[in-house]
Amino acid sequence: MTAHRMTPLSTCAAAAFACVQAVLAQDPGAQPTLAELRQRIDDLEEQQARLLETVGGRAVLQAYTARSFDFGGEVSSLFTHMRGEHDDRSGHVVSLLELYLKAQLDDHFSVFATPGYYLFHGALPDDPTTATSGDPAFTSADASEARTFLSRLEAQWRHGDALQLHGGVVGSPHGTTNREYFIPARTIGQASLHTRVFLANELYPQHLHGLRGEGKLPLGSGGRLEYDVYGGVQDDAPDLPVGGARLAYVFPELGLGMAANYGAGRRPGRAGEQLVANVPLLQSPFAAEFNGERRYDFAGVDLDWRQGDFICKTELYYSREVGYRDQRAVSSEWTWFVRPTLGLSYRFDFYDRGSDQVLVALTPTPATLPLDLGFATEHVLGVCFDPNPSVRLRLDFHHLLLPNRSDEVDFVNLSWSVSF
Amino acid sequence: MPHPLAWMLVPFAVWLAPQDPPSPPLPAPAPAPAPLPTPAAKPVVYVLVVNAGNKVDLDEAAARQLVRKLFLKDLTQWPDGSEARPYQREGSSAPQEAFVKRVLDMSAAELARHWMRLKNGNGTTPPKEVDTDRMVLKYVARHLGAFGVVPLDAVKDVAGVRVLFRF
Repeated sequence: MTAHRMTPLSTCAAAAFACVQAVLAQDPGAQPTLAELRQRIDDLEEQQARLLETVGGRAVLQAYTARSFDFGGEVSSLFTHMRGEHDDRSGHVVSLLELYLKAQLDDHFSVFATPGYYLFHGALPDDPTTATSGDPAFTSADASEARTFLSRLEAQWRHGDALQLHGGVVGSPHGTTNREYFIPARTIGQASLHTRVFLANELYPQHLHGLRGEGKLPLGSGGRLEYDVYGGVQDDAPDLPVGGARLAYVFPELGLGMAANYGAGRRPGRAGEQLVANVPLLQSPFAAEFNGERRYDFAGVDLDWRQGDFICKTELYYSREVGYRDQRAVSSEWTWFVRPTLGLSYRFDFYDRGSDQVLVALTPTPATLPLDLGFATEHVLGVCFDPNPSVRLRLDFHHLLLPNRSDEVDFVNLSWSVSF
Repeated sequence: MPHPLAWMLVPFAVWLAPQDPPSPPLPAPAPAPAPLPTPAAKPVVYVLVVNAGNKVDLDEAAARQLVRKLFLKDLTQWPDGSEARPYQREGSSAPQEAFVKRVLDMSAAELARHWMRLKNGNGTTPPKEVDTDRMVLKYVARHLGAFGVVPLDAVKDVAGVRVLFRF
């Protein structure tokens, strides 16, 4: 065994420390100071432990020029079981992954981008061999596709609450479901009938390439005015501009927001061989793509009411389609969280797609005739369960009356979303 | 044979069913001695602190309303135009629970849904989480637009901050 030699200096220091401790321990007036110092050391150790757990021994991300960098995303998947007149089908409809990247450069400039990957299998309730829509004798998986997409790619400039500008691929301000856009926030997995086609412009644009300005102005006793204006072009029509605005008043104490919407643009048309290639229009009663080119302008109102465990979202829209019959849409969704983790929802949708040029002959050349596309209604009863605030499981029962005939389809969607 | 739709309901029916079987009635317990009267626990008073240079001057009701909007990021600027910097405490901590209940007037689940909606609308993140009273006070003293919650006792003789309201 080796004996440790103590130098006179260390002996003196140890003795002095022991004396101070003894004095502090015996001095009643010093006890609070000692307790406070111990508490502060505990706090610092606790903070350091949490920090080390978060950072670990791995490399820490360093942003190039950003002051802060947020990284996250979401994964959603939806399965369906559908009943038709002639057949029943079950299958996977859609899975998607979206990453959220947000870089803050300074108090004014930031970037928000959401690169995504999308896998879709079309279980469309129609028979493409007939010229009419709405025959629930299924054709399976003809519309399968997998692709990358960008639903948001915004460079943002912020003057303050009164003015923010977003340029790039921006979301339109229309529609209560569309405003929330990303699926994890939804209590019912599928969007309303008139926004069901992913990112498309069925009645109003859901997103566009262009510029969007928005702002919030305090007005009245505690309330505020919110505005949005935008202009740009759509994915499928880079030469046809669209534009619009939304003006809302929010009563924060009531949790109520009411808004008026207006927009206008031009829908691209199709001719010749493109008509035959327009499979979604042949198959789906809710296709986004029209055959007949036309100008349109639309107006609508929306209401968003959130009070405690109740959420009500309602919107009514009317689109004037020049040269064709007008479109109309109503959607009203009510949700009640009966427990913090369990929500019950009901939604009613009405969507009248107006009219379009419909393919009636392939030879000698593709020929079309104007046809009323009719209206559809849907009742949805949904249950959602959040085992974790970032995880949502949903079971939704849909009862859909197809357009232009008395055919009805019942289907059940089982979906989940994880947001990280 | 049940319809396939019925099978899809089975997991939810199982989940919604009572978790514990009904227990048999127990014999009546012997009467317990009456508990000694204990003094009611005094609720801790918390304060909302802002930077000492923050010029906001509102009555308490208006200040609470403004703080609610700033914390929830419905607004992001104080009335003088300075950028608001809310700090929150760890979700299950006493100051955070008191703030959510008494100032935000929300449940924890409602607040979680709010942040989920904002994140999935435009990528907005919740306020930065701070562990201790002293760190809250340091951040608030350092940034003009910052605000946070600490117990009333923690704010005595602390330079660089002022109390906007107590709750």
